[in-house]
Amino acid sequence: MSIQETAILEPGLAWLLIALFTALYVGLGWYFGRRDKELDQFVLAGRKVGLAVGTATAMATWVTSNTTMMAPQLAYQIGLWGMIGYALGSVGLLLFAPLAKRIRLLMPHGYTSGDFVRLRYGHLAWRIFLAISIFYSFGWLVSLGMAGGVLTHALSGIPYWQGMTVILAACVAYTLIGGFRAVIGTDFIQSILILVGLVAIAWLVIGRIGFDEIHLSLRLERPELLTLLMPAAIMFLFNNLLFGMGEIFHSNVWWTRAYSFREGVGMWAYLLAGIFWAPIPIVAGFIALAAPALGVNIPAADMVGPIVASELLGLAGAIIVLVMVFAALASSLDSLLAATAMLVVRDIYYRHLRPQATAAHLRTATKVTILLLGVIAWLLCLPRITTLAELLHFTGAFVASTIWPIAAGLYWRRTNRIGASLAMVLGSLAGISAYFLIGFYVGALVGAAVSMVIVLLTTWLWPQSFDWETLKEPPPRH
Amino acid sequence: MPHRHAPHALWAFALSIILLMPTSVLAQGVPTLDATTQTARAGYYQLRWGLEGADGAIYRLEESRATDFREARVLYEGADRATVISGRGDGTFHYRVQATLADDSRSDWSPPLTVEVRHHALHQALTLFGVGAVVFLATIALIVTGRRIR
Repeated sequence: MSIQETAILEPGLAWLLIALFTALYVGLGWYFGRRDKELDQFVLAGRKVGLAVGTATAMATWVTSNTTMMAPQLAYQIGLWGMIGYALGSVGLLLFAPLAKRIRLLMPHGYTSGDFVRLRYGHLAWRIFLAISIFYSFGWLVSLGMAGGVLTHALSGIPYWQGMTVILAACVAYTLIGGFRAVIGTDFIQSILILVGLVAIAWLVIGRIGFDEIHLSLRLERPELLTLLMPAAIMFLFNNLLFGMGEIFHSNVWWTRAYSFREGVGMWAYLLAGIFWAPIPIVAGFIALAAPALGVNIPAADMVGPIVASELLGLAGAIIVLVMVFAALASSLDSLLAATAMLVVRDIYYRHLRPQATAAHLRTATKVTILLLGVIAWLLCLPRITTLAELLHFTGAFVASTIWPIAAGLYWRRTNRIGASLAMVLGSLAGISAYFLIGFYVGALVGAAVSMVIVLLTTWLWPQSFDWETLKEPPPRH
Repeated sequence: MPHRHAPHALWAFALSIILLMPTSVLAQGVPTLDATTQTARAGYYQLRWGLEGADGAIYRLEESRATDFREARVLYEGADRATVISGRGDGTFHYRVQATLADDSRSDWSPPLTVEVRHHALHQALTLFGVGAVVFLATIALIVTGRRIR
């Protein structure tokens, strides 16, 4: 049963827009990836990505449906701190900048984040890490697919499953056709669409309904959203920051970019992407705070962004939101599909099952895996079991427990190997317990804290030595 | 024997009345109303409602601080079947919903639903905030000092 009966866009117009942009992205995917026949070119764009494209791909990938739809959701649920806390997600990009430089230096022939954990900590930690990383990838994939369905339903009344299916299929199609160069090429176009759309909406919102009216309505109807001492919001602040750090520090999405950037580019690309990204959740979140002033009903928290924009700005607003969020979704979905497929193929299929596989075979396996990931994500998206924020933050407990094993492994020789494995397992368990006992806004925070204590304790009590040259594993001869 | 046929005639009459009735009358009943939580620890929750078989119904959702709905205020009136409440301070809130059908007839009120808003303790929140700050600063220290090591 649909919970929303009022929609701005005609379903026919929404389908037309989706079809047009799907054709654009698939066409661009084919164009960008048409010359990449070798495996290294298909999965890492030949390791020669420059600063402009590098910055755009890092920013566009981090501007996801989560930024454009979850930032408003959190602002609507937990107020000012929700909005500001979400913007602290940029800290993950900023802090990954020096890590990207070090990764490129230590692992010039690396392919995945799994390569680092395997060489640095051994097989036990590697397998724990793979389980966490693949689980997280599915959480993110499903949240993106769900966001596609929620968006089209909120704007046009198109049934959730139809919008979700088409958007997911479009992203799978052009990632399959063009590979990693298609992903970063479309990211460049998509980041421009996102920025222009967001600035246009914010400009129109402030022009139509001033700050005073928004503030007065909030004070009268939802006063806790303005208070700086709302307990859940206070806990959320560092939780979101650490969640973002965990996502970026561990995920192959960001490691493949670190490997693919030309030498010297990674540090600046991530720094600039973090600076450009930070204001986006503030603008997106601010839109949600206008809902009470408009008197518009919000049936589900994750629908607040599109509903307010289209209510306030009518047909033009709805079209801008659809194009912008589709771009944001696509720019993340394609990156995630490509990076996860690479992790599955290289770390599981190649390293565990088919070590003799040729480059051509692995290229085909990568394509098959992208398709399979799309199908599994589609199946998981169908039941729409929870809201976007709660789904994604469920994975936060797991990824935040990788922050310290990754950072301490990259910078300290003496980090204890068993300690790194324990930190990921016990950090995840503690984080997930906190998620259920207290709320979604503490899972990552508790996971990161427990993991840090274990890494520090085990390294202090039982330090081990490590030769950095081990990380310079020569590229496999396919 | 005529008196034996009478019950059949009555059944047939009753059946024909039911079959000829507009669907809106058939849908008459009590709307359902439920919430995502009975105790909201972060000040937000979602309310969902509906009336089986009442397509196109307009719903009226009321909120009151009193169990008998004295001084109730209309929180929403329209065709949607859910709403998100947020930004509430501690307190107990009572809700009920009524449907207006296509023929302008009104259903009964749903059974009342109570949601208690009870925020987490501030000292717990500040403690976890402090823990988060320590982890964050320690990670920065690790990266900054680590960069100096060649």
